Amino acid sequence: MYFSEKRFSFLSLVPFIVFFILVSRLFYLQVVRGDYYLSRSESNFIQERPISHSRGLILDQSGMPLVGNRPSHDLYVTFSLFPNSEKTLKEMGSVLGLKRSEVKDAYERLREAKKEFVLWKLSHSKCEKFAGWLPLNRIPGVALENCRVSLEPAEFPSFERAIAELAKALQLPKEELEGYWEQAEKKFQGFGRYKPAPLLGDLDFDTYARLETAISLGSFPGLTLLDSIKRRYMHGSLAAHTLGYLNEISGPELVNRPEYRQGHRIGRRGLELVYESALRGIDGFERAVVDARGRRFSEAIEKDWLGEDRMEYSTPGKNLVLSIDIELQKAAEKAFMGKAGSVIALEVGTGFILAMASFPSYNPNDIIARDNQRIFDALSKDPLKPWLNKAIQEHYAPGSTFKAITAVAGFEHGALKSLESQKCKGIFQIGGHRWRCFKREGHGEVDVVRALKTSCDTFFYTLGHELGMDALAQTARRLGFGKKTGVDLDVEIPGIIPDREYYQKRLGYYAPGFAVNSAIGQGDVTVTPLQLAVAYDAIINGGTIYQPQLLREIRDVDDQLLLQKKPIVRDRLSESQKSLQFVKEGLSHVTEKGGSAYGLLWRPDLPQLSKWVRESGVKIGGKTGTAQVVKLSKLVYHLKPEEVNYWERDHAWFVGFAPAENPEILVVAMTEHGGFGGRTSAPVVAQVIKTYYEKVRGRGRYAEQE
Amino acid sequence: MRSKNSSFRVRFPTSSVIYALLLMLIGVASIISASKATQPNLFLMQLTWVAVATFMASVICFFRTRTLGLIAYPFYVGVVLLLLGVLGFGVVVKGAQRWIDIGFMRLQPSELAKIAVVLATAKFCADYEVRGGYRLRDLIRPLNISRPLALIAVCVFGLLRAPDYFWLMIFGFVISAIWMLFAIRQIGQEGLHLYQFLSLSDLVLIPFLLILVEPDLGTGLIVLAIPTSMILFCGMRKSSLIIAGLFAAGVALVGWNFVLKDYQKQRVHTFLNPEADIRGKGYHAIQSMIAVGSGQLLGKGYGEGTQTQLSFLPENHTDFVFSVLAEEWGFLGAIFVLALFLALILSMIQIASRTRDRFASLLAVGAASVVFWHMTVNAGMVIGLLPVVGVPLPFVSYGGASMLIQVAALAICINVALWRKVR
Repeated sequence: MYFSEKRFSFLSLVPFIVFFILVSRLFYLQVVRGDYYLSRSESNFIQERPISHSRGLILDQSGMPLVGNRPSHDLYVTFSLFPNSEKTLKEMGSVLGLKRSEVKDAYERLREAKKEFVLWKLSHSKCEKFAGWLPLNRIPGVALENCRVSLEPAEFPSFERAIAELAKALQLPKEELEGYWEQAEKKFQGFGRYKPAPLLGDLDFDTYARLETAISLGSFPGLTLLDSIKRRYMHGSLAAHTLGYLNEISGPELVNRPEYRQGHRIGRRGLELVYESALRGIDGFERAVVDARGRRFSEAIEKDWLGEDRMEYSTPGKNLVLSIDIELQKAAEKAFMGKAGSVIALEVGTGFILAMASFPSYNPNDIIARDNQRIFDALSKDPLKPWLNKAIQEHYAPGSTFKAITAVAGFEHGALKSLESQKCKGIFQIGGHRWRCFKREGHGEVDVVRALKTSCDTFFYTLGHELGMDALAQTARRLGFGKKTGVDLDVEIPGIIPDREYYQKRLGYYAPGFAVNSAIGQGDVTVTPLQLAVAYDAIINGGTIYQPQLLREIRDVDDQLLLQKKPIVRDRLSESQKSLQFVKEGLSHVTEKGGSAYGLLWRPDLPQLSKWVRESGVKIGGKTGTAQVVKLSKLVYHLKPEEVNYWERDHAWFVGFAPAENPEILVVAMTEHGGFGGRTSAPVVAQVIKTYYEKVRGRGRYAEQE
Repeated sequence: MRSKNSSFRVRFPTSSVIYALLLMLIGVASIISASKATQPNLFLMQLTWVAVATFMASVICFFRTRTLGLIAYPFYVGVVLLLLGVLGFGVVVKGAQRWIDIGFMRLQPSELAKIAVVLATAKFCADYEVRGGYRLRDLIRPLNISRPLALIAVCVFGLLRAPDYFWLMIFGFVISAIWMLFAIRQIGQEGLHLYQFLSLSDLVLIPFLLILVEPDLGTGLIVLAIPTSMILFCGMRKSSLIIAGLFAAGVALVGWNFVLKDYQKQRVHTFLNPEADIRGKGYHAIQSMIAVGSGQLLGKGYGEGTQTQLSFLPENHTDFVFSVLAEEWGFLGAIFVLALFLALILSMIQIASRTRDRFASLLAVGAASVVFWHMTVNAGMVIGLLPVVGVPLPFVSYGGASMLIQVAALAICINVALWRKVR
């Protein structure tokens, strides 16, 4: 032994120490943290591929589908796998150990080449290596003969040609496809290049079939076709504002919603938004085995690795049964005579909404379509505000329709006791201020019934003056004005019911004349059409104020009833049934001779409707309303509505119910700038009522049909 | 076993060879598992290399140990020339110039350097003995005549290329002249030996620096670590050790700031926090740790490692073959392999301890340190204790160069055991 024993013991100690350190580390990794790393390795090779769920349907009260689903064939691209000649050349170059400049040179030559050419001459050793590599990687257009690598540019994969071929297969202009490509590429940068990115949705069947063949033949590496379920609004623009629509959830919104994924759609407006949680189902998933390149293995291997239960099926969303009736909704939308406005039909004595239409409308299918920007912009620029649901999101002066509310206030506050009458001379005066009745010569002796029937202004000027601002406002608020109705829709505005305090705030003073204006629904009083419907419903049903509702039932996919909505009572009027009877009586004469809507019976432009109103035996009660938009000077006072600028024409209201004696249905039609209420709005109401009698009444509802 | 007409006692180190053969067997099995989907015949190549290496080992064992001492310096010089050649006309792969194309194969001189430094260092230390252990001055030998000669060469070069610094160069010549006087005086005192021209530190640093600039930090550090271990084993004075330690720390600091390339720094950063760059530089480290950890106590079973079989683990048959083992055979399999390495290294140290010849003993220690450092760096890298550098696991990893070098080291040990002088 040349060196001392001690030195050798010391030397032997070193590998022992290292052995101890390595074993401790292995113990830590494999035993202590083994479970963690096992799950990490599983998440490496087990990919959970979602199976999309189908969203719940929306049905009308008879069970007719208003919103359904349809299959969509979508095209996805994995950018990292799509052909790219430079990348392929680089790959070949790295196999052969070429310098970067040589690969670049090869790329230049490929770009200029028109026909097959010799790319590289290889040394013997490289040649053997390449000969082993090429058959495994099968690159079209590359051939190896006598140690020469030759390239056929027409077959060699290149991005330009692949995208041109894809455009041809899709029958899209190349520029358009490149636009979609850029959009998708922007969203899927970096890591995302290895994941399938949605490129195009909604391929038609021919394109789908063509592409599927091409992809399975290997013509488009990196492209995948996937099926998804898209929303379909079955009747286009029918009830568009009420139903709402969906669109894709945005990145920031995903943060606090673990149940949503990128590309999921979420309700944006209307019922789609309000009942999002019910309509939405749960995605299932399928576990797939993938390797480091994301390539999937065969089903047999997957079963072997993951067992039989590698599928978790999706749960479809729940179906909504609405109170909307498709026939009434169609009738309302068809009969509407103006440019803008709304129609609401209410089931009397429950608060359920049978129809709710807003004009102008749009087709939600266009809104959710691939290329919606143009439509979006056009809708946003339209001065008629098609985005708004005018039944709840727009408020107007109610005009004469408010007289019924003034009458109820009169009874409630003791200003009216019974049918005492007063004389209408066509004018009402406080101090120096004068208010004219629309009938300049006056109505003569009128009581409350006749005042409502003829819509006498003077009667209500007097009543309003006697009641005063605050008493009128109090009753109006009890009837639901000045606050949201609570209908199950997303955005609603409250309207304005002014009182003394309101004027003090707004103008700094209060004048008794304000109450006179408010009594006939002018001045600062504004209401939404739905509020008016709810208030009239209370007047004719005996004083119960309901919360209006659109949803009757929620059912699961097997048609099991999960939820049944009952009418919701918000308030009850305190005055006697008798006084409400007087008001109702007054309203029920509106279509009689001398009534403000008597013209409905003899419309030369609507002979069939007029005939039905005259002869069906169904008596329509109600109230007309013509709300001034601008104070007209005396000069233009007698102009016909068509002769006035559209934006200065009066708003036309009509509230109608039938049968007048024992009402079942109440309809409010509101035509913006429609002129005289009896003329443009009353026929709409009548048409809805006619449809109710002809197609809906007695037919029964969804639940009862079975 | 004694042979009558010889003064040598021939004893074959059976245990060392069995450990090594077991490791090779485990290596072939792991290579089959790791490459069965992509290159199913790769293990045949490995077996071919084992056969070639065995032949080479028998050639090495054929010579007496003294003969190895004779070829030590020529071999060393040849390797240094090859390393210079690599820098001149090597093949560039992945940004590094490490190979020389010699027609039928690629030669990697940095691998040869591992054996060259073992031979040269053992020879040098055997011939150059300092009582009480080496001092720093003995390692560096500042008064060697090669120093002033080198300075003169630099000044001549300077005069030709940068005449603006004329007076500086002249000053350099003056310094060289004085330095030369001291050097000649030292030769007068100590006599003319090789160590008057080359010091131990020169011997170690020349191949290290040449490999470092290729650049190949991993191999460079191993080529530095092997002779350093041998010199430390040979013995150094305590005070010199402390000063050398401080000096090494200084060099490391300067090296980090001025010498290391960005990609090398990046590796260290990635090593310290691999999760920060999971798809990029940290990918190897993370996937390897996942493979090892997910093997748990008993492993996933031979050929069933998901990390290996689904190619999440990169380079799984070469540098990361230990992860394959640990994944498929678990903690028990992994410590079995490490225990084999421990036994092999200890048996090599034992061979060193049983010879009375200083050169032979140092050779065996050097050979043991070749195996030890490769095993330590590779295992440490695979289980996330060391940064990822391209160092294979001896006898186990796929690769001809690695197999030849490790078997050469083992063969040197066998040679020492075989040609041991009788008392």
